[in-house]
Amino acid sequence: MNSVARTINETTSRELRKTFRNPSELFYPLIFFVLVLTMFPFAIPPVTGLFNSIASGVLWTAALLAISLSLETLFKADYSTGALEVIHLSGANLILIGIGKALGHWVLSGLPIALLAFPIGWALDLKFLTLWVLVTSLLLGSATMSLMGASISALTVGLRGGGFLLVMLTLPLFVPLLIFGSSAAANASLGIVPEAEIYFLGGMFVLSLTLAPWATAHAIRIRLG
Amino acid sequence: MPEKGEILWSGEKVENVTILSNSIVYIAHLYGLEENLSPLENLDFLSQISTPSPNRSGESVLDEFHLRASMHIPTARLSAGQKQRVSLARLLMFEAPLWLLDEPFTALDGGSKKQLEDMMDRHLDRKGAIVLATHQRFNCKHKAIIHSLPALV
Amino acid sequence: MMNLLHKYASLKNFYFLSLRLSRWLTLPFVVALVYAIIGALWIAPQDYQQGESFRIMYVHVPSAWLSLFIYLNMVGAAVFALIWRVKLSEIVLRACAPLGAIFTFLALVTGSIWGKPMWGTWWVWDARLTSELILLFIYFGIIALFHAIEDRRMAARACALLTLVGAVNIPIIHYSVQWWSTLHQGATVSKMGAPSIHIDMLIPLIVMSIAFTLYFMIACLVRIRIGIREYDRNSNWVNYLVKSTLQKEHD
Repeated sequence: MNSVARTINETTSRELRKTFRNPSELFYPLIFFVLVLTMFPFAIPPVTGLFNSIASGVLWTAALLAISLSLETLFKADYSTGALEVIHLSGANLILIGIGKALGHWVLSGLPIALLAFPIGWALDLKFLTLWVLVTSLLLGSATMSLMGASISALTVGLRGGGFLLVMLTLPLFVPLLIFGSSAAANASLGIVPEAEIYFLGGMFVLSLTLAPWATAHAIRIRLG
Repeated sequence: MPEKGEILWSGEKVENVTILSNSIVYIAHLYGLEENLSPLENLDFLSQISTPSPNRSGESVLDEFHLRASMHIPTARLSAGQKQRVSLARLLMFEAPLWLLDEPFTALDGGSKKQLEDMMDRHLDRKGAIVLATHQRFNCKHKAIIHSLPALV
Repeated sequence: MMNLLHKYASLKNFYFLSLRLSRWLTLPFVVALVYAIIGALWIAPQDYQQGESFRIMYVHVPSAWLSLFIYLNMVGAAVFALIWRVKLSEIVLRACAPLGAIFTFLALVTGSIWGKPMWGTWWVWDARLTSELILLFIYFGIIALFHAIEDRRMAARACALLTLVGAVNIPIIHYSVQWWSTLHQGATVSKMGAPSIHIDMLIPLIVMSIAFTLYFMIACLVRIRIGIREYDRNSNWVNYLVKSTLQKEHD
């Protein structure tokens, strides 16, 4: 394996291994996702079918919040134990570390949430095409969120106001993903193939894959002084 | 970068310290270890991602620090002294001319302290340099330039 | 040219240059403002559809324009702060952020006021207003990050990176929101930017925009001077300045 693949692979494996040693942490994003979802039926008027009609939008919003919150822990442990500094001083390529971290984060939050959306959406009476589009949009969108979120997470690591500050900074940036993601699912439920939306999500993914790791590397350098 | 004054490396002024990172091993106050992973996993990770690659394997270095028995145990369960030794293992893994050590003798028992002193002597024998900050007494074969810092009131 | 830039990147030189600049800018600002107010309130004729209520446009449009112009300034400062670590750029970045937020907020409030007689409600999820709202959140984020990091220089570099990240995202957000609002608004046409505008309405608008920009520059220079005094607070010239100012007040 060449050194680029090796660095990314090692970083991602480390993230996964780290979290699997603490198995309860694996479920936090998923539980939060379902918890937020459950709030909506309590909050909206009890009109039959109202919740099911906004289900894909609610699923997207819940996913957005769960993923944004789970970003906080991405660099926190490494920063507080001094491991981040050791990694930086070892001369490792921080851009590749950024990619590895984002990939690890996606596997642990975005991917499970997107997969869980399938049975949940099924239970909420969403049609097969809609479910398919919803899960695809979540997979693409959450990957972009992991990439962009990693840079903001690195930028705000160890600061007081931590979680709130991070979510405050990332949510405005995630708005386009939410708009096109939920619109894709909504259009699919009307029987329209959401080409434009999926292309846009794909485009944002590629853009963030190109630029975000560079920003993550810079953020790490800035915060380590 | 320093507030005042300048850094000279081999007589030349240095603007950006990160270009020197290949030539320095910095042992800080924090251990720099991921708590859920074993010492071997921690050091193997570092050796895979660092440039240039280290000269010795994590396993052989941990062996030299008498940590073979606790090599595979999650770092969280090690004692402070053992964690410090894992942290110091980096000094042997990477061959760097300059060692920056911040309180390296913390939590070390007598035997480990002697081992570190021997390592430092061997490093200096090979014409390496060490910048050391400590409040503990230690033995060293070579001459040292000592700066005593006044106590902050 | 480079020599001139180098000379005024020095905090001390820029400080005294900015004092002169502030003085020069004050008269044009007052003249522009007075002319624009007279033009907006008297000279511009009543709007065909909206009557007198359209006049809030004279605050809304310059504010909205300025909210984006200030962000562009911040992007420029961010580049210099991040790549070359120019102290003055760090100070400019920190000075512009709250001003940008204020004008964005002003644009939102006046936009909302303008909308009330037209749409009947104080808030509509209109493309432009929603984009401005997200811009306000981005400004808040940058300001919050400045306050969250204690080291002034590290905070400036972190905010510079954040500003650049925002800069890439703002066009994306703007077009996303526009796309989204076409789905939701359908046939509603918002008449905020009239395609053919009477010349008597247009000139005060332009002059008001100039007046607002001059105000921004004057206010920004005040903040920059404060920043310079903070950055150089241990230097002789700042101590002398502070002492002589206190002396003058004492007398």
